[in-house]
Amino acid sequence: MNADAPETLARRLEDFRTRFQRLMDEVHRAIVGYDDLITDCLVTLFCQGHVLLEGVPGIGKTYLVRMVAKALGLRFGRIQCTPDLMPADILGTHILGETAGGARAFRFEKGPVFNNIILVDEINRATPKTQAALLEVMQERRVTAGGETFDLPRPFFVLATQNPIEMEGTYPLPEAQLDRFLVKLHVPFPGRDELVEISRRTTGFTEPVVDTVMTGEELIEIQRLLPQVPVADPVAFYAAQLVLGTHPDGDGALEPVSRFVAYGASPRGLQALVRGARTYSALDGRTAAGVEDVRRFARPALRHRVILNFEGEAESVNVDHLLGEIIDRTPTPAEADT
Amino acid sequence: MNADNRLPFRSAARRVRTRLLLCRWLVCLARTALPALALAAVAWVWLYASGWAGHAALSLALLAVWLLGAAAWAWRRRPSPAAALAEWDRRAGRHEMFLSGLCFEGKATPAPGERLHLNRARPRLSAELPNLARHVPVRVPYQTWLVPVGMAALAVSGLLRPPPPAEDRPMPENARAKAVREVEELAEEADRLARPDEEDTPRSETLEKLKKRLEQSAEQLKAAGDQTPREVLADLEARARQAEQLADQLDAAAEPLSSDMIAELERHADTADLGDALRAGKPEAIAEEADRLGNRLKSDALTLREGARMKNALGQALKVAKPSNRKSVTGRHLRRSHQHLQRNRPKQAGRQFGNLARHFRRAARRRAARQRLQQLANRIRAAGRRLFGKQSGRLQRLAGMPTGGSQARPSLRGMRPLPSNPQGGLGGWRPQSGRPGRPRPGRPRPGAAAPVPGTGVPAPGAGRAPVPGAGQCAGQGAGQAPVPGAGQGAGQGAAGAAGAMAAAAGTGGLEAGVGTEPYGNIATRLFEAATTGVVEPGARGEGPAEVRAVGAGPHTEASTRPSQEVAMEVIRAEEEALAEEPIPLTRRRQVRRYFAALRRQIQDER
Repeated sequence: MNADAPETLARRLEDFRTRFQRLMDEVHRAIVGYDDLITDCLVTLFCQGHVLLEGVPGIGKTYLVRMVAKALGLRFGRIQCTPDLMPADILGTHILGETAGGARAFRFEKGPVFNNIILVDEINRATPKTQAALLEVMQERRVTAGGETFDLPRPFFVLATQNPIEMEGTYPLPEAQLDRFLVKLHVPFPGRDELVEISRRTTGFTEPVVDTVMTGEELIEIQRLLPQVPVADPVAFYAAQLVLGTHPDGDGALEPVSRFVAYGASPRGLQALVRGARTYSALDGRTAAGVEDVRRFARPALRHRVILNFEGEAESVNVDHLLGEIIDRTPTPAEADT
Repeated sequence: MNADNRLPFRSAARRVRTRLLLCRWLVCLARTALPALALAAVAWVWLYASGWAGHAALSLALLAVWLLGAAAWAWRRRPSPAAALAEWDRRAGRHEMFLSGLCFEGKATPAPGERLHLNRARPRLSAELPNLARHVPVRVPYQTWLVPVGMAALAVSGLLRPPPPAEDRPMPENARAKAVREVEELAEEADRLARPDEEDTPRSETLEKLKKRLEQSAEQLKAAGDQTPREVLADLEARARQAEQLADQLDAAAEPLSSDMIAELERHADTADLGDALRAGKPEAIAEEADRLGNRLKSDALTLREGARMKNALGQALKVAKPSNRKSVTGRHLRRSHQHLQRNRPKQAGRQFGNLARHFRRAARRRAARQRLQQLANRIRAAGRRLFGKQSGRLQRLAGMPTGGSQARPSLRGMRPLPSNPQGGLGGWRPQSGRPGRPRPGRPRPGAAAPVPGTGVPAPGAGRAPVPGAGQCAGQGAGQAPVPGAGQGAGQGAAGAAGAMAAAAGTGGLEAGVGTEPYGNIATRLFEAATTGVVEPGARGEGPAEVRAVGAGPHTEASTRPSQEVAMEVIRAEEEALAEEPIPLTRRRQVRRYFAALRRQIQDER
């Protein structure tokens, strides 16, 4: 059968939707609530992106990542960042050992990055040197040490967390490194009903069991499938217009953007928007991305790419509100007439 | 296979676009319905006032303009095919399905994903097209109906109109022949103004147009037999106003210079005469003086000292000149001349003065042409009177024109009406009596109120004197009372300038020679020196200056402590300091003795 035939594509997209739903159900066996968060997180994984999770301690960020890794059947590695963490601690290092013949030789001891899903806990507590090493790995997906290059296993995801309230002794990620994350997701505090459900599930003798519903190879196959979802030019123009709308010096920049924003989103932001829109449209059972898909993914994909200026920081401007205003006032293909 | 079958999205986009265009047209009609109705009401009032019977034609024209205007606006803002389909997708909640189909169907080799989308979207399009009217409904807002109803009412109102009065009926044959003769004479007059000997008169092409229009008026009068006296008068009045406007344009070329610059020119011996001429505002005199200076600079007998003096005089004058004065023609020539003198090129500087002289000669000729144009306007109006005799006043009122020509302008409405002038159409206003709104500061004009020095009373026979019994104008009190302490000349100037300002503002007063006022009728108001007063020098138009007397009485400053007490404290502090200071033993006794003597002296004084 021709793999490029539309019927084959339709069947594979249908299969993706089914698997995604099963994956969601499986994660929900362990995680209470967080529908949007889990969806955004999984969509980012299918888009081959890395996730930056931001939330207060104790709301299940680490647990969420571990359960996602388990449901996907991927190897899970965890790095707890501290100020004395060195690049070699996460990448690996050469150590002196004995060969089978008894001779002494250096061998490379791989670090925790050599896993499929890496949880980097409190990434902003690592020093800039370590952060830079990690973020370089995220981009290149390979490690070079002592003249040797080691490819990281595929698929490879980094889910980093950071705590927004304890800023003492932290090293906030620079803008260039924030840009490497496809999305930045806020982990909200659970509601009353969700808290009650959490208490029921987690205070018993048995822990919830999460089954593996997808392998790494299947995940890679889906990652190759999703770019085939087409995006019409007017929708791509709309996404580009959204990205341009975040720039304070662009033509027709909104007043709050001109006033509070120092730098707007990069072309990586546009890539993230289009990739996310493709995935959402496929999840919705449609065969082409639409404006609503772009809008839905705009806040997670752009919020960490919009850098406020001094006035914006001083006025405690909420970037999400700013993005909401940009989304509302950017003309859609239906409005951009004549 | 036709194009619609091959490209279904494109044909659907055209249909949707047409429908959206129709919707926008109707929306535009609804939004502009009330303004259109207001316009119809204005048109009805105008028809009623003018007596024109074209109600039906005008209402039809307004209706057509409204419909076509809205259609043009809607066409200008018509959506593109993609935008039309996107709008339909939005209204039907299809997430840009058809829009994407439109984009993908135009591709030569669509990707598998695009083919899949087209395969799914085409059947959906066929199913959705019948629902287009439901998704994009075309509704006619109720406001849209108001305008045709209003226009119909306007058309019907024409039937109820009474027949036109006698003066609006077609002009008889003999009156038309008379009008033709008059207009031909006027055309000849305009022709005379536009002859080549007036080569320096600016805007000669405008004069040429005026002449042609007068000739056209004559031709129209000969040809058309159904013109009414009202129309003839309106035509003549339009020509007269055109001539007046041209005269105004000629006068607008005058450029006022700042008094500081002129005063600086007057201060220097070489340029004093030129400054005087500039202040007097006589173009011929200015041209003569400029020529004289130019010849002197161009002369070989010019000494270095003379050149340096000229350079200094021009430099000082330009330094105090306002930016607007530097940009004026006079300022430009003076500046260039100064620059040439700075570069030690007196002949070129002299040429600049020659240019200045030519400019002012041209200004003199322009002024003469302006007077002739005003005479032409008067003749045009007089021709109207001659044509229709006693009826002219009533007919002019009917034609909506002022009876007194230019004197009935809005800026002069505050003036009291004068007896009509039998000499012509100028009435009570003459060009020499100054133009309203353009007072010349520093130069009291003939006819302006001139107070007798020291009395504050206008001289007998002065033009702006208040008429007995008519009340005092608002501007007279401040202007006519000289301030004690100010010089005589200043008082005169202030009063003259204030009187001129009051006249220019049109706050009261009559023409020169009409009012009378006996001596000493208005007592000089006492001016209290202890209060704040306003002095209006007005000699050069610098504006009012404020004089304020501030009194300050003597006062005492008493200390709360006696000086001896303070001195004792100081001495005590110094004696204590002596114990800590390393004074040599041999001198310590001597120092103590000095302070002990001081203490005794002060204690004795207490």
